[in-house]
Amino acid sequence: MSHHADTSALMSRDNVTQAPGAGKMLSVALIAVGVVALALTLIGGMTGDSYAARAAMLNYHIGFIAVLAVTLGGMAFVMISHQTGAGWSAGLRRQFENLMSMVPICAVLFLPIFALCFLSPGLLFKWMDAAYVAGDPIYDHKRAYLNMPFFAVRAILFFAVWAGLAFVLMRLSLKQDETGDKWLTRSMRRFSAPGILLFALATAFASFDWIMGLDFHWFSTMFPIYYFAQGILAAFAAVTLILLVNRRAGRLQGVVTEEHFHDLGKLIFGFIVFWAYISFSQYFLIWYANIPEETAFMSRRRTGEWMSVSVVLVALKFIVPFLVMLPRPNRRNPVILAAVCAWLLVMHLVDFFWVIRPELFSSVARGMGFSWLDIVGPIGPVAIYAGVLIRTIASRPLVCLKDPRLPQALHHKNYI
Amino acid sequence: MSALHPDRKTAERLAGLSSDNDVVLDPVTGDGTLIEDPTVQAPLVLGNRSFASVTDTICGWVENPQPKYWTPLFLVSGMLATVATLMIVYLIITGVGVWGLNTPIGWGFDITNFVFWVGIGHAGTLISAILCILKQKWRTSINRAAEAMTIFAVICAGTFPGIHVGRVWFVWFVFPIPNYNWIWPNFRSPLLWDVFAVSTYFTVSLLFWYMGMIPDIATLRDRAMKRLDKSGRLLFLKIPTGKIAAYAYGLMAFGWRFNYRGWWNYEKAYILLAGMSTPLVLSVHSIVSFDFAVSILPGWHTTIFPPYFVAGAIFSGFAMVLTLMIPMRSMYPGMKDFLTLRHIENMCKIITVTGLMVGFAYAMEFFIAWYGANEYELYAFKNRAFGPYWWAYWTMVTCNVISPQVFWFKWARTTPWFIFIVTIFVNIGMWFERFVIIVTSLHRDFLPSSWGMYTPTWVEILTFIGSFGIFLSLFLLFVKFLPMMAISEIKNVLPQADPHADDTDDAHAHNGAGHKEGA
Repeated sequence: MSHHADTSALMSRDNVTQAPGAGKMLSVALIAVGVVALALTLIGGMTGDSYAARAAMLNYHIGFIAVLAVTLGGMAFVMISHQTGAGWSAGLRRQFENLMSMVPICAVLFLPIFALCFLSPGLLFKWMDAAYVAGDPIYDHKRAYLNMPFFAVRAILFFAVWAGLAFVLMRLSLKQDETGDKWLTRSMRRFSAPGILLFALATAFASFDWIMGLDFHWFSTMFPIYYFAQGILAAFAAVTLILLVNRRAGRLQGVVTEEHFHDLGKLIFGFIVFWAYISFSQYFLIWYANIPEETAFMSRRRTGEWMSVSVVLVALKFIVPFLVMLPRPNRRNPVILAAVCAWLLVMHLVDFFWVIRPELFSSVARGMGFSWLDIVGPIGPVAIYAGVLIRTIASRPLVCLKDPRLPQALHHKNYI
Repeated sequence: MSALHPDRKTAERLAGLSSDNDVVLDPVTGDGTLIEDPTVQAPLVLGNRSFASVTDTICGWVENPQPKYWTPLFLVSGMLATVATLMIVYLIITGVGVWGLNTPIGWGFDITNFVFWVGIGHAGTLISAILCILKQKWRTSINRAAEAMTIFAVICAGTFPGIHVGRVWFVWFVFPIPNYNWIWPNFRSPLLWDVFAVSTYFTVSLLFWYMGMIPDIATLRDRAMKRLDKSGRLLFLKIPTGKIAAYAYGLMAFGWRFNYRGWWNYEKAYILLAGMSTPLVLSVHSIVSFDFAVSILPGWHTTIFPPYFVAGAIFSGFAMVLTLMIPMRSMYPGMKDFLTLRHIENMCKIITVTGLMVGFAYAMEFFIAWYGANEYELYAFKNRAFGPYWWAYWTMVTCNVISPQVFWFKWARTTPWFIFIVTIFVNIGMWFERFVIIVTSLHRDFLPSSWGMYTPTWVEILTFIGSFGIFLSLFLLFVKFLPMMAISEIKNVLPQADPHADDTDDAHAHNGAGHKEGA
């Protein structure tokens, strides 16, 4: 009996929606920063030496791939929680849905890359440069997959799959906010089952096309899982950060509690380990077998300045967050949790810097060639994404208001 | 099968144990466990049971005579175990020549069986450790038996690498002990890591299983103390079984007295062991996959192997759990109350997900074999699918990828006899997966002059069949002498174990069978 009363008190308008105009200034500022960064990247790319255009493009690509990973990570969690019928997370699912609903922004951010594939083929994906691949037997073998019309068709297909999944799941969830129809939960669950399948295929081939394809000689069957591991970790970090900020702004009191942060902390810890497991396995098998066509990718990242980035990644994306998140009190401490999440998001970018940026020069001897473009380039897409995300969060209730499992989520407790 | 609902039948069988068994069955959801309403948590235990009836039922499986199938099953599996033992003795006194292994195929049934059995073992640890950490309370009905299954599967698995070395009296070379002239084993070899990984896994699984069982063994001890004068007869000898039982359970219970301090330590140890076992679920089969993937052999060297092997192991492990539990569920009185259709449906879903993961890995391997533009790699995969072992490859694909897809239909994943058949297919498919990986990659070397075919001899086939006898004999002894389900944990998920159910959650108060579930 008391339960209904206290649920409705928690669901009061002030608690589950942001204040009118909240975050608007921040959002506008972020979008402005993003636009300026884009402009600077464009100028830098057009005016520098012969490598500047490619450096600008690769750095933009890092930002795009990173925000896409967060979006897809959010989508994966939404579908997994529908599939498992998770009760504890009913109060936080909306923030994962917000990430998921950023697919259109990702599509817009992809447009410049897509356009440049036609306007200046080979600038980003070298296999598109007919002169570069002339007489390359490895490329000749892959021509049936790596060719221009097919690449474009696939890109459209990937976005169609993601956008379709995000649109339907978002619409059903918002409809439940209004009607409170508990059977919509079942519809979302049923939709997610084939959804995960389509999602896995689209994400896997997108990671082949857009990241692995940068070095089209290289291949690794683990790569899609590596991309997924990066994305879901970053999505957890982003959602935890969003929830902590909203809590600090006086929202979600009693809805998202220490208990939920504790569980998010455990999942973040788990996915830090998962990321390390996947990246270590990929690296280790390539290192051990030492087959030239595979090792090229890793040896480039073990040479000169790139070796330092590799070490930084292991130490600061795995060892340090692992140790910080290990003790229970840290996972329940909002300040430590926020710091770790922010840190993981920075490392998320460093991770893609490590994956994508070494493809700038054909020769390892040229080193890293770090320039201001490496800082400014990723900021463009990331800041615009963050700005739009803040507006998206403000535009909807912060919680899935009438989720039938919400009472279960509100009373969720960790005894151990 | 009678038209009566399993729950009613249970009530009839247990007549006298719970007189107030008046569960009203829902016309749509049956016993209520398959309910789809997201506001209602499906009951984890049926039959409106009291704490006492939980204890009585689970201990009853041990104390009462075993079901009539037990003895014939034990005789058959004991015979098979004997066959396996004889085959191993024959192998050792004669030499590995009695197997069909020869250049270029150095690994055949031996390593296939090893990987198959290690894989089976994974469900136990996943259920006991990972589902515990994820607070999936439905695991309580299956964790004990699944952990036992893990231990027996690892015993079967460990046998094969032990005997395949040829001269078994040198098998101690695998341990990090210097032999002649201070020569150590090769620490860079994944075969050595396997020894560490599997033995660690076995040790931790055994500790976890046994520690979780101590309170229940103490319950059996306390009950045995009341029946000290019970006796049995072996031919003309009178055996004081009551006294033996009390003494044996007393010894095994380590002086457990159900006191507060005991439980406090128990809970702490349990969650710590769960935390330690979780990485082991991933590490063991990852390291087994390294046996293949660190090499440069086409078909073996591919980076997806570690997670792909782990997914396959969980897939086969859950299939084996269902293969064992579905018949037991019909054989033991009252077990359907604890192992409901919902439990079975959940496991079917896990099988579907992991089966799709395995299918995803097959697809990625094939795609990258082509995309990688390495002619040998591509050849190895073409040879798998269309070469002389095509039948093995397509058996694997049919059983592992296609057969679990039936679980998309609700009828298929809630009909036990049908699920039983599908799980047999999955077991077959997962054995063939290892056979395909091992044999098809070996049988055609880089030089066509080193091509060959592998045919197992009768010794290998009988050893493999016999390993099921070892596994089943151990499992049957487990169900006869040890509590098959975690009594104290099941009491924890009964509705009356949650004293605050009414003051926090009125939605559940109207549903007699419903209760809070932390998941």
